[in-house]
Parts: sequence; structure tokens; C-alpha cells
Amino acid sequence: MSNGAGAGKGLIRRTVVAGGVLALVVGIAFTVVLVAIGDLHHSAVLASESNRVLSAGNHLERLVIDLETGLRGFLITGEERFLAPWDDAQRAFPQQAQMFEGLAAAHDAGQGRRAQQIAQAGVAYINEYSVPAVETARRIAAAAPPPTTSRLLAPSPRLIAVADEGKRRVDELRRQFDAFAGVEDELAASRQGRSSNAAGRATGAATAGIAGSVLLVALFTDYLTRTIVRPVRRAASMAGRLAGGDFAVRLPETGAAEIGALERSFNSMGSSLQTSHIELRQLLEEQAALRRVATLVARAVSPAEVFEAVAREVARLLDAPATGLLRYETDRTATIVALGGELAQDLPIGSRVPLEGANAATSVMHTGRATRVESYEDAPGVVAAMARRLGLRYGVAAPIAVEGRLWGVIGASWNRPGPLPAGMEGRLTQFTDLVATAVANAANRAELSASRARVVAAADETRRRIERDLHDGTQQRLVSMALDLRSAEAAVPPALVGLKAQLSVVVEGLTGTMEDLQEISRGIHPAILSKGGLAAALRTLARHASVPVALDVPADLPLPESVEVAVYYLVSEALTNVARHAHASVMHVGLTVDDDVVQVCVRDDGVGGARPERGSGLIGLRDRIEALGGTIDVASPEGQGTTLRVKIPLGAR
Amino acid sequence: MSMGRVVLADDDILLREGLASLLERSGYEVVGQAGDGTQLTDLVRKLLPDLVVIDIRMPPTHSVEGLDAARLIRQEFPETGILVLSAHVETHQAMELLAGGSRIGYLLKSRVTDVEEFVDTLGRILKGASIVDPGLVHELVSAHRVDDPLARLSAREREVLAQMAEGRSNAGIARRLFVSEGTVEKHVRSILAKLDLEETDEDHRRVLAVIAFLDAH
Repeated sequence: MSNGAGAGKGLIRRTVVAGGVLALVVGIAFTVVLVAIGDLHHSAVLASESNRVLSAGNHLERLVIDLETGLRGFLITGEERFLAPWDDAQRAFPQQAQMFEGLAAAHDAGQGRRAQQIAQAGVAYINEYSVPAVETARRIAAAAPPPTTSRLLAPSPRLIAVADEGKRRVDELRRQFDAFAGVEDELAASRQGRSSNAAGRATGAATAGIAGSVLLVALFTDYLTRTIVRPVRRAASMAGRLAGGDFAVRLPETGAAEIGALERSFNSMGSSLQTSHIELRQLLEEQAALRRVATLVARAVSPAEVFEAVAREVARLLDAPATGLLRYETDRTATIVALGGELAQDLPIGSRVPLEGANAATSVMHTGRATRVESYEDAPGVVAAMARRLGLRYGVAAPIAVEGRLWGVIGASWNRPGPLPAGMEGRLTQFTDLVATAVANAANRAELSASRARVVAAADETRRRIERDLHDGTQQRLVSMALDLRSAEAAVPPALVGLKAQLSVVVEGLTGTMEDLQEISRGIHPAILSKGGLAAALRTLARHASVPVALDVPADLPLPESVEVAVYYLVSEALTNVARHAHASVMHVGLTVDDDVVQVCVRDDGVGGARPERGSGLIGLRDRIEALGGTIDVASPEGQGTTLRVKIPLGAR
Repeated sequence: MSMGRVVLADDDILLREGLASLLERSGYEVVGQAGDGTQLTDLVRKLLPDLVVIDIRMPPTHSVEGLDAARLIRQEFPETGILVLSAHVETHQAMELLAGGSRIGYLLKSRVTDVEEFVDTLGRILKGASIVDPGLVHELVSAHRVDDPLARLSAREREVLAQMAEGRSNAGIARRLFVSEGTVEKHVRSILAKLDLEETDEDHRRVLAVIAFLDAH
């Protein structure tokens, strides 16, 4: 993760640098704008001052005009009332002038001097002209008669001169005011120009700042898009495809810094997901194969079928072109019992291979453990030579132990180049238990079947012996005894009629006993079977039955005696049951032989509802029939008669 | 004058002696006794008896040695009467014996204890009859059958049929059933017609046909 940490600094530094540049550009732009705004504000203040100076100037000018107007009125009329504004103006002037002077000085040094001159000229006007003029006028008025209308129309020449003097002074003052105002206007104009410049600068700076920022943001955005957004989007799309099961998808590992790390992480995540997925699929396939084989084992199919299935499944599962199962024999050879894979198709199943050299089968036999042969090149022995002939390069083998004893070996070989993949022995070993179980089951079944057959055969032999003893021993004795009694009876003198009759009765009793014995021996063993065959025996059975029997049994059947005996007892038992329980009016007995299977069907039209599992003689029959590898099936629906179906295979025996 | 010269064959000496004594008492001359089939045929070739009484089960296998010996004797000496005794009687054995011609009898061994009947049987064989054990005939006639062809016969006809199967001639049946021989002949014709059997002059062929019919149905 040190790589990721270094990459982390990279992306953060890039972001910080980009952010700093942006902040700098924006900062400069804002500074320029702020300065321009300050200039504008200053201009506005100056403009306001200028207005106040001009206003003060105007006010002062009006006071001068008031002075002049009042003076002229008084001079012309001589009436004191015209002097009221003059008085007011004279009193207000000094303060006004001082204010004007102050404002102007504060505003502009040049204007301050001009204002001072104006103020001084104003004061000079008042003191040197206006006030003396008023006093002169008053004096004239005091010396002259009361004023008349004529006077108004005819002012004295001296007064006219005074008035002219005033007019000249006032004009001079007004000219100065105008000059002041003109300068002030010029000042305002120049200030206006400066503030326009400042506004222009501010606008430019703002525009440049915004444009720069926008450009920078755009560039940064583009950069981010290229370095972060697109790779992240690709990563997201990959994540989506991964989630959708496309485990082969990968990202180009070109991204910068953390993005590169992200891409690498995603790729390694994809790889590990792909690996896990492949492993999972392998595991599932393995489980399915094992389940298929286990099902066969559970169904108790023949071991050969299980061997063949295992060889085939292992070939498919391990992708091995040649697999095989070998059974160890006692003479240091092994028999090939099954083969799988396309390369092993033509090898002879059932053939023996010698266990010599250092091949896998020999090694497994010696060690009892799974083994691997990294190369068949130069490996000794027939098996290795066989492998080389098939183009196989290397292989593995695992032992099959049946009930603790080494029974055989299972092997798989490959023809592709490259080293032998790891773990193949383990995968192979998973099947050996199933093979062992199948072998053990078959052996147990065969043993059970043989044992049952032995039991049945022993019982049959006993029955046969008893039957023979009854006929050849007991019955012979009875017959010869009866003959002896007849001899005795014949030798009895005619006078002893009673004795004669008694002996006769004894003989008849013996004859009855012999008939009983006949019946008993017929039930013990059907001697007729060995003489007349099954068909004749079944016909005899049928004739003794209490209900009519329709027999459909071909004559001259070449059946083994054990099968004939089983069928005879089956039919005999069925007839007995029908007579006892079925209330049937007819019975059908059919026997066919197809494909080495004897099929017997016994059916009646009775009441049905038979329960063969409840202590019926059919249970003994089941043993007898199953000992022959056969099956027995009873269908007895209530009210629909009873049907007994038996199948006995002939081939295996 | 003996009623006939007889050779006995049975591996049980006691029984053989008993039987010999019975036959001697009944007027037959027991000229030889054999313990197995080979001895029997040797004796027959040597003594040329009128009748052989053979136990079906004899050494060495105790199965059907008596039948084999009977077949051989019938081939070599067709005029010699043969009575085969068996611990149990079977139709196929009966038919096999009957197929060999007349003068043949096939009885349950226990029948020898009914002396009168037994001696009568021997006499009939010597006269050329073919005899089947009445127990076997009873089994055949009284068996339950699907679509029983015997159902077409009257009760009297069934009785006559059983007598026919035992190997009796029309005269013998007439005596047995206390009717006239003509009546028996009428019954026999009716029976043969109903069972779709051919008429024949030879008694043993008639027995064989009836037994075969009963066995097959």
C-alpha cells in the first residue's frame, strides 16, 4: 500500500495546485476590482464636496448680490427699508465666506486660494465700498430736504458715481465667482474622467478574473474528467459487468495516482473473482459428478457400470484424455476394468497388464498411496509404454481400498505439455471411496444372493431327501408290511373269519396311510418336476386346485431346476391362497421366457385385498425368488382380484 | 398250470419277496427277481417271462430306471406284458408307457395291497389290455377346468369315460357298470363324438387318446 500512499499524495498535490492557481487568479481579479471600486468611491466623495463648495460659493455670491441690491435701493430711494437685506447679508457674509474658504481649501488648494481671494474681495467690497457708501448716503440724506418723488427720479451725480463703483466691484466679484465655478467644473470633469477609468479597470479586471476562473475551472474540470471521472465510470461499468457475471472484464491500468491504484485493485478483484468463480464451477461439477456416481452406487447397478461411469466422469472432470480403473490380481498383474477419455477408447477392457517397473499402478500397489508420474518419458514398464504410445505425457493414480484391502487403482493421464497440475491426486481420490463402496456392495450382494441360494438349495435338498425317504423307505415299508399282512391273511385258516377280516381292515388302514403319505410327499417336494418338467408339474397342480386354472405354459422349457422349483412353489402357494381367501371363479397362470428372463403371472378374479407382507407363505417364496436374483410383485386392489408377477433372470446363473 | 410266468424288479428285497409271495399265492409263477434295470433285462432275455412287474425307481439313480427298462423290454419282447409300479403316478409317464402298445399297466405301488384288484389287473394285462391307475384317472376326470369339455357329458358318460381311461374294454365297462355292452358302445360313441376323438379298435390307443385329451384340457 506504500505505492497507493505515494499515489495519494500525487492526486492531492495536483488538486491543491489547481485550487491554488484558481484562488490566485480570482484573488488578483478581486483586488483589481476592489481598488477600482475605491477610486470610484473617492470620486463620488470629491463630487459631493465640489457640489457643497459650489453651493457655498453660490450662497456667498447671492449675499454679495443682496448687498449690492440693498445698497442700490437705498441709494436710489434713500429709504431705510431697502437696507434690511443689506444688513442681513453684511452680518451673514463673514461666516459664509469663512465656510466657503474652509470648504474650498479642504477640497483643493488652488480653489482654496481663489476662495480666499473672493472672500477678501468680498470683505473689501463691504468694508471699502458698501459700508462707506451707506454712510455717505445717510449723511447726504440728513443734509438734504426730505426726500421727494423728484429725488427718486433724479439722483445726485455723486450717488451715480458710487453706484457705478459698486457695479464694477460686484461684477469683479461675480467674475471671480464664475472663474471659481469654471475651475471647479474643470476639476469635476477631470475627476469624472479618472473615475470612469477606474470603473473601466474594475470591469476589465472582473471580466478577466471571471474569464480566467471559468477557463481555469473548465481546464480543471476537463482534467478531473479525464483523470478521475472517466476512470471511475469505467470502474463502475466494470463493477456492473462483474456483478453481471462477466469475470473476464479488465480495466486499462493507465490512470494517475489513486485512480491507477483503483484500476489495479479492480483488476485484481476481477482476477480473484474469476479464479473463485472457476474454482466454484469446478467444485460444482465435481459434486455433480460425484452425485451421479453415488446415485449409480445407491441404485446398486453392476460394478462394471459404476467403473465405466467413474472413468468417464473423471476424464470429463479432470479434462484428462485417458483415465482407467485397474483391479490388482494376485499374480502381480492388474486387470483393466474400465477406461475413459477419448484416447483410451480402443484399449481392451478386461486385459491384464503386468505390474513391473516404476509406473503409477505399481507404485500405488507398493505404497498404498496416491502417486504422480511427472513424465512417462523413459519410465519403465508396460503401462508407461502404453501411455507413451497414446501420446500421454504425465499422470496421477490413486488407490482403491475395499474394506481395508487394496483392491485396485484409478488413474488419469494427460497429453498436453506443461507440468502436471497440482491437486489432481486429491480430486481423483474423491472417487475411490465410491468405487470401493460399489465393489463392496456388489460383493455383499453377491454373497447375500449366494448365501440365500445356498439356503434355498440346502432346503430343497433336504426336501428331496425327505421325499425320497418317504417313498423309498417309509412307503416301501408300508407296502411290504401290507403285503406281509395279506400273506398272513391268506394263511389264516378259514375257521378264523374274524381274524381274517381284522387283518384286512389293518391293510386298508395302511393303504389309507399310504395315500396320506402320497399327499404329504407331494407337498414336500414335487418329484414330478424332475421327471415330467415344469409344464406337467403345473398341470398336475392345476388339476388338484379347487378352482379352474387356465394354464398358459409352453411345454419343454429348458429351465434350470432351481427356477422350476421356484415357479412350482410359487404357483402352488398362489393356488393354496386362492382356494383359502380369494373366492375366485377362475385363475390364470402364464409363463413366458424372454431375453433370458422368466416371467410368471398368476392372477385370479377374486376379492383382492391380499396382504402378502402379513405372514403369508409368499414371504418364503420371496426369499427363494430373490435368491435367484428375481423379483416378486403382488397387486391386490380391493375387489379386483390378485395379480402376482415374478421375474427371474436366467443369464447370470 | 400257472396263470403266467412273472419276473419281478424292485430294489427293496422285502417288498419284492412280499410281492412274490402274493403272486405265487394267486397262481402266478415268479420265475425271477431283479434289484435293478440291468438285472431285469438280463433275466427277461434269459427267462422270457409272460409278464414283468417293475418298480419305476431303482438303482443307480432312483428316478425312472423302471421306465427305461420297460422301454427296452417292450422293444426286444413286444409280447411280454409289463406292469410298472410307481410311488406316484403322472400322466406323462402313463402316456409314455401307453405309447409303447398294449399289454401295459401303470399303477400306484400301494395298489398291490388290494390283492383281488391287483391280480385282476395282471390278468387283464396278460389278455392284452392297457391299464392306467384309477387314482390318476380320477384326478384327470374330476379336475376343475376352464370351459370344461367334460361338462358336455352326462354323468353316466363321465363314468364310462373314467372306465375307458383306466383301460377297460367295452365288455369290462359293461360288467363294471352293470349295463349291456351295447349300451356301453352307445355311450362310448357319444363320448368320442362330444370330445371330438376318433374311434379306434385298439383298446390301448383309445386309452392313450382319452388320457392325452384329459391331460391337455
